[in-house]
Amino acid sequence: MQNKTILFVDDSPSIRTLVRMILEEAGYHVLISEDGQDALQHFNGKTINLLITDLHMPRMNGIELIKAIRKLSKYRYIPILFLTTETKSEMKNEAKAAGATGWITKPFDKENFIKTINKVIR
Amino acid sequence: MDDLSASFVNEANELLESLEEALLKLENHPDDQEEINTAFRVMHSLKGTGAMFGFEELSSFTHEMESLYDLVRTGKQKADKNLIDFTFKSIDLIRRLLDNPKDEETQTMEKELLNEIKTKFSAGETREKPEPLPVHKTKEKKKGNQVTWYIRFEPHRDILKNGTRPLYLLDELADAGGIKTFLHTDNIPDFKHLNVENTYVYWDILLSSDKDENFLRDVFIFVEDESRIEIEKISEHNLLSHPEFEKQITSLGLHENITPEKLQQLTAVLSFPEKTEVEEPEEEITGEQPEPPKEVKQDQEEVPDKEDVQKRILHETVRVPSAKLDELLDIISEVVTTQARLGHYSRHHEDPELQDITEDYEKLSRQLRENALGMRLIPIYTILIRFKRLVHDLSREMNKEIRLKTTGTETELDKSMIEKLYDPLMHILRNSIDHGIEPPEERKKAGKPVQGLIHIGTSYQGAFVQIKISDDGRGMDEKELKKVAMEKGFIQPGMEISSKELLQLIFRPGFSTSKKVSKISGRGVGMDVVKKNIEDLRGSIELETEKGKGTTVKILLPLTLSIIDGLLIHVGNNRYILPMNNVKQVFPVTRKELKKSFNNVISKDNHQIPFVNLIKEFEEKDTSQKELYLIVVDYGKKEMGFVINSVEGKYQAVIKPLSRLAQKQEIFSGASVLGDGEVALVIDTNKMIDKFINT
Repeated sequence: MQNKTILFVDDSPSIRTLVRMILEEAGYHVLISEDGQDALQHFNGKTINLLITDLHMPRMNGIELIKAIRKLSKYRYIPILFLTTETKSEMKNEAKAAGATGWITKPFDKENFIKTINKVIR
Repeated sequence: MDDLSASFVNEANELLESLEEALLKLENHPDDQEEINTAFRVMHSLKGTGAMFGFEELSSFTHEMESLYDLVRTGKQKADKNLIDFTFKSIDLIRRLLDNPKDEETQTMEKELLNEIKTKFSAGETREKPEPLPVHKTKEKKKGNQVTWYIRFEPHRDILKNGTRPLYLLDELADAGGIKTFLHTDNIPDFKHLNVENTYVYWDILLSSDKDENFLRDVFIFVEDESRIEIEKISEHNLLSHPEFEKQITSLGLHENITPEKLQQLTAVLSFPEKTEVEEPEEEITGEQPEPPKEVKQDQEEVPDKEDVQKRILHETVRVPSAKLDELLDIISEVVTTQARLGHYSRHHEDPELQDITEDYEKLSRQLRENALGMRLIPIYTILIRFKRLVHDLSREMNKEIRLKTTGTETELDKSMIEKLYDPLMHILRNSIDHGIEPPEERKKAGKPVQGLIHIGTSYQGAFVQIKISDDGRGMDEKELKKVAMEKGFIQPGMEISSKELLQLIFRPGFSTSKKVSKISGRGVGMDVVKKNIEDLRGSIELETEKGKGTTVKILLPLTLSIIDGLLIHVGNNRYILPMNNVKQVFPVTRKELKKSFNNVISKDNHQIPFVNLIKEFEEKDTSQKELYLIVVDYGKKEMGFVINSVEGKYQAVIKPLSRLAQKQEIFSGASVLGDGEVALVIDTNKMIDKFINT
């Protein structure tokens, strides 16, 4: 696997640590941000193959972040996954409408986390 | 995970601190939306993260709290003193749950608080609560049987725009087992209407896997709302592993489209031994021997496969009167002619939609044609078995010992051709039995086995079927042939004649070498009629003989009779059709090259090709100064080039026979009505080659 870059955005430090571990072990290059505004700094021209973002975050939430990315010409069509705890909800539809590719349901384990990522990048 | 759990506990404590801060602010400003949101988010984070790190009780409790704060957020519950007091109590509980969730006191406290939520706060509320989170556990999947699924995946047009890569989903399916995908491109619009950011393709998929339907649905989970997804189990077996799978896919035409009927046929044809007893197919339909009595049936379960499969195939057949097949072909001829008219019309009208429809219609009419022609194919053994008896009876009568050997009997030909082959083949056989094979004593003297052999070998030769009838008899004597030819006035004394030309004389009317009229091969109304019969089928016939060794008759027949794929070409002001199957290559050629060529041989691609300039040959006016084309056609091992003005394109030609007056000529096999109503002659490339190369 080539070193694909994944940006992971979550306001929970422990989740960030956990996800960084899982992704690095799987061979990905990992970037980390703690909210939407922080995440946007990363979209400065470098290659980002996948964005995974939580939805509930202070400052800029996940939905706003997704909408912002879909407006950037270079990143317009990158896959975006969001983290959700609900199996069905308005939040999910809102995120899809904003342009998200799919979602990862919390709680997740290493196996299904990687499996979901494989749906959108390989 | 221990370090990680510790880090979660730290994080949770920080979150609780920020929650306490928010609650204190809320006491003074109960409507402060920002603080309410903070409280909600803390509960939400604790719920999600807690579940991630295995804090099950904490997660389920904060789930209730999250729901409660959702009510506050949406104005259905006031952030009053009651709520704030209760939340402080909850914070204490959460700290205990972080510390030791199994503690008894903690558990009673949790129960009390949960009860309080129910009675005090959410009474009468019908808010749809999200499900509490399961704490993740790796699911044990039991290995099931490999079954076969049919999946139709029609992605939404905009699917690429939200970052979905449909091919990854197919990859994911492929990881689940054996996969066969069929890509459909017929929704792609013409260039003007094409938006490169849209998706127009869709897939049919056959998948063999031990996974269940939920697993397969899960693959499409991100796209299921917008896309059309059909998943259906079509077999309890792994069809893809069946050795006949690819073959049946092709023969059922699954590449063209997939219908429920075709899938049914596929599963029926690719059968696997069943555990339960299958009812025997009716004898009438299979035309097989009556089944042995019941006791024997039990063995059948152990040795089912091949015969069983064949029986099922037969079971699927339907008898149709052959007149109906002829009628079908007539109608299809009309369809093809109409399609040509439509094609002509749409080429002269700049209408993309019309062109689109025309293309589809052309594709369909071609499929229809191939399908109908395919239905008419019958293996040649249907007539060859009749000959076995004939050879047996005749050789008895002649006191000769003859064995008939047949090979390639599964070779298929159009049924009308098979019917018309019976007479000529019988004639050739009679000749071999009567004149070819020697009586036993003579064979013994010549050192040959007493039993004579006649071999009928059938094989595909490109777009043709070759039937070779050879005997190991006495062959023909050139001197004898010459003598007869002279006696009958076919040649004059002293005339030079090659052995090939001499053999061609046999096919002339009135030529027979039989010393006396024999009961079996008649009175010399023989080979000329045979030749005529074969040529009526657009075939050709050739004879080889060697004295003392035997005679071989070779018949070459086209696969189809009435509708062919042709190449429409321009020669002068007229258009002609060349059978596509014979066309090998097309080269542009300059007038200069033609002038430089010597003895009508031109060099292309490093090899020498004899050619005929059809413009001259057909006495057409060559007025244009444009580049010319050389079309290379082949026939057996020979090849030849035709110089023409231009190529118009591929054309499905319904071949109509020429009138009697035109039948004398040798190089056109028929005519076809073009889309604009004009007529194009169909060039018989084989005859053409014969005419120009052999003489």
